[in-house]
Amino acid sequence: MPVRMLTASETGATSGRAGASKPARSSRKVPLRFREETAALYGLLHRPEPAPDGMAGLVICAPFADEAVHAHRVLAELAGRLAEAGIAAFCFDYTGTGDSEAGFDAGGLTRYVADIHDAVACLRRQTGVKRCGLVGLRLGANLAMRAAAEDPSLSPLVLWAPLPDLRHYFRGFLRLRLFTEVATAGRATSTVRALEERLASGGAVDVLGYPIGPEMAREFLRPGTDPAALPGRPTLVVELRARTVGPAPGGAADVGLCEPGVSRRRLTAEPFWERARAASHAELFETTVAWLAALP
Amino acid sequence: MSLRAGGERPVGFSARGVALAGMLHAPAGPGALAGVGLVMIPGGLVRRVGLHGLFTTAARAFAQAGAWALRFDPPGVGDSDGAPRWLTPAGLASLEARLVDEAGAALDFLEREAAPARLCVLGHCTGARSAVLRATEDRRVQAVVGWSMPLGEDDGGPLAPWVGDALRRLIGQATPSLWIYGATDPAWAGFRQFASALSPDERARLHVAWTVRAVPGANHDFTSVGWGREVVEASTRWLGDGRVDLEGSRGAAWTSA
Repeated sequence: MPVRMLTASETGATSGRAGASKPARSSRKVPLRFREETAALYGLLHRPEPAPDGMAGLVICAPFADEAVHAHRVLAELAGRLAEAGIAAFCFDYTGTGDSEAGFDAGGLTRYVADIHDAVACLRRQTGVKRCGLVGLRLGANLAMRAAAEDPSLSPLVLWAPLPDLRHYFRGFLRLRLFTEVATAGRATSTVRALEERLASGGAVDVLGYPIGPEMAREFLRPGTDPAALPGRPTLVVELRARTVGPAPGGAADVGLCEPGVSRRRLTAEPFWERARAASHAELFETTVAWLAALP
Repeated sequence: MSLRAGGERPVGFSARGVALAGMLHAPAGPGALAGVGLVMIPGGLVRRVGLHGLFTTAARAFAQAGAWALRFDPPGVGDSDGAPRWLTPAGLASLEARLVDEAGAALDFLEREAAPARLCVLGHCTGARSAVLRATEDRRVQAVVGWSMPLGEDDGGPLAPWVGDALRRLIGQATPSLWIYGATDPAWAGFRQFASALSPDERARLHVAWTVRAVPGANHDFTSVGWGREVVEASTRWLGDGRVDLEGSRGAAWTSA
């Protein structure tokens, strides 16, 4: 069911493109359900029209839980921008999230990485792209690195605000349950440590309406870190720093190459994965698209 | 894409010339909600799946009970085109900007695709206000379900006259309506304030048509698995037979919350 993408002049949309030149091509959004033999996944393919010769593809890897709900629009807008630049971009929902099938507790880090591989296969099947890379936000960036480590053909990699420590992140997620308890009942009934112990003993924990099971917890809490770079894979890491009071520093800061093949940029942005806002992310998009366009 | 019983399919339709993306759920089979067609309107900038997937969960439950359900992304949200115009000063100043046309287009689409015997609208937060406004001008709408509907322009702020006016029109029409709030949600206090200011005549009408329910301990977004389940089950039961077999009761439940 193709859906034509309307232009800004047709919709009255303000997409943060003020001053930007008109894109060379338009794009078409194609909703897809794939992997129907098990729990089907939902995705939206942004297909460039006309498709350039040797078109490349990118699968966009969402962050975790409500962060994926809040960030969805920004990732969808990025996909549209990539398609206008001639790259087939595919946003999808992991198992048990968004419009995909199954319950949330059917998911987990291993499952999500497998979902990324299935999304890559779907994108290749639908578009015929030979070169396919990954874009990930927050946990999605870590998952993209894991998927790329399993499949050497996945290149390039764009990592927006990757998580430096999954255990720390997961404990912060558990803490949100305690914040909810304080906000609704005036006090927390547990501690992060007690919640971890409950999970370790095979119990489940409800965090913000998400049922977290022991296996998902084990995956998050497993010691070890994700690789910072994969040899031979051009990688862009974008650090996103929260906007503070006062004027934001302009332009993307190039903070150097810490690892071979890894470009790092630092941008100031609202944490759009914490709460959806009607805001422009032009600088983030332009930084990403310009880096991709400069690749050989 | 074909749609099997109990299946779901991404769909598209347009309102005000803007292409909107949605997900259509087909009935799994005959059930208590046979013949019901439900348009679901999310709140604010939340995409059609809802926070912690509540809209997706609810639509699947409604379809399991025999209903058609259509969730959609408002303009500028999720996978829809356009911009979220109701967040602009001009949008806030204009009643017609509050997704009323979009809800109407979704109802048109659902009528065309499924021809349900009973069209209903459900909204969460500001989406519930859109549901009310649509129901007051669209006689096809036979029931309204509102979750966490704020009556002020801001959380806990003073009541917005236009919301109260719309609710009074809804009472005048005697449109069957179910209101569910989290008992700790500031919007619940606003609803009770509105209800306490109604005239005796309005209260009498309201007792016939409205069901009000506060979920103990719950917040605005029903952010626990149990709260979410309670909201979905109460809505399913009410859409089926007009009953809410929980602590809430018809009419004046707000006085005891």
